[in-house]
Amino acid sequence: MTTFTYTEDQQMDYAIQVKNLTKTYKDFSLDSISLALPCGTVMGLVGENGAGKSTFINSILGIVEARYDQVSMLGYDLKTQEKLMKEDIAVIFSDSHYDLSFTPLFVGKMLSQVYKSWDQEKYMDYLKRFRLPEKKRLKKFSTGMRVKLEFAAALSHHPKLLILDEATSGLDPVVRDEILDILREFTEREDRAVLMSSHITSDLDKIADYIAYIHEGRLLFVKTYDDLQNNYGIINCGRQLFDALSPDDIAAYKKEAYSYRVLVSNKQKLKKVFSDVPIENASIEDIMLFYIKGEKIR
Amino acid sequence: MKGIILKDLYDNFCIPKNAASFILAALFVLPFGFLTHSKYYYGLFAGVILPLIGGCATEAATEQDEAANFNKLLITFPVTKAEIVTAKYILGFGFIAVTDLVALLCSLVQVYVHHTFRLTEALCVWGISISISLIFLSVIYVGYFLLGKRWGTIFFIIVTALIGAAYRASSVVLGMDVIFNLSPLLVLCLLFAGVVIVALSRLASIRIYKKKYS
Repeated sequence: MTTFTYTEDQQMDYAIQVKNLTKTYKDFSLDSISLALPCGTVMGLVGENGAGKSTFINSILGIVEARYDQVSMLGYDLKTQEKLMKEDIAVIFSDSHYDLSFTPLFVGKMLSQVYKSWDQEKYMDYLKRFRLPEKKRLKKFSTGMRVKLEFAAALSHHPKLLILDEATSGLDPVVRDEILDILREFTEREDRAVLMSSHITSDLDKIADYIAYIHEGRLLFVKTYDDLQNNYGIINCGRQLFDALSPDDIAAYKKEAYSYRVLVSNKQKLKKVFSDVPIENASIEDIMLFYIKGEKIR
Repeated sequence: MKGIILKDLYDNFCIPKNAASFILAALFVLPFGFLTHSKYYYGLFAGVILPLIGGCATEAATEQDEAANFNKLLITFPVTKAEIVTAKYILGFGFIAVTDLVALLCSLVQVYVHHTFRLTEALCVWGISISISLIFLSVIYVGYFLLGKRWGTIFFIIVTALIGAAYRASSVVLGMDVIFNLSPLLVLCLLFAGVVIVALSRLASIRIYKKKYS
């Protein structure tokens, strides 16, 4: 597991800092999660269904109460500065939680009374840009239109941190691509950050700077996307090569009928040692599947 | 908190089925209060029927919130859980203010137009009506926060039936003249009790809400 250490001076450089967050249910527990998301970056939170991604997000937002040594966002402490903190963050869940009887116009009116920094002009611009009818009730919107409304509402109070919990799931590729464009635009400024949990790892391939991987309530790793791309790879090999690999090189493997598929975590080194062995690039999805379904040496 | 109050007002009056309920209720109830010439029916109107409306403020909002799981989103807004609950109570007080104003107008009509009773009697019943409004709101809100829309509504109906039965019993046992001539000190005590109960109810609702979302 990767942990982060930081001094007081560094605190504002992080959009999210979490130390030893634990949430226990009867049949599941999120186990002492620590991570830090630097400002100006996008972190993808991955893991299988029920791994604890949503519990983690709900815990850092105070939607569920968890035990922790520290949860702070944008320099604000969750325990003592929750209101200030939430002025600067925006959250989008997989399902719209706005009443389906609302109209976009009413959502804007309501949020203008909620956020001090609400920008009605910007909101109306987003409605136009996303081609969302202002006076139509949300029950007549398609899923894609509802998600776009969520983004319009989320971005119109100038948040510095965007938290997305499976917000793009259930969307077609065209709408997802539009959403990714919005996220790219959002992160153009260095003081902003995005924490994005998603099953659709191909989206994270396009946008994430960091990947945090939660499995069965434990944070397996937090790595930069470049680190994953440069160092993780897949080798298809026979028993002989498999035995020749050091256990330290093997993150996980799958035994197939006559061969092994091996996820290695130090691709560059192995390329030098086994120069004639082809090593495939491993996508985030590959890494996830190996960790969940593959076997480990140790 | 203004945003939450605005949303709850929208839930009550801008969603056609909810708005229709209020309009129909007003159409049935108001003529009953203003046109009747009886102490008993005025007491029923001002002391039982109108106070129920304060509790209705949260009924439609709870239904809409549950359908959309709006509270999950609400907790991500820059408001504390205590403020969320307080906003609901403020709207309830708004409803009570309107219904008690209607009760006052109605009592003036009864005193000066129909001559059903004297002004002092009217003010006595009006004071009791405010107190019942506060107590009813206190009990019903805790019910809705604790039980949610479905069981909260059943609880609402049970409490309403109990208040109605208590009114009927006291009118038979004590008589209408006793109810209309309670001492001003007793009415003030009832009002004070109403205020204390509503304060305790708010604290209990905050606790329930925090526990529900933890």
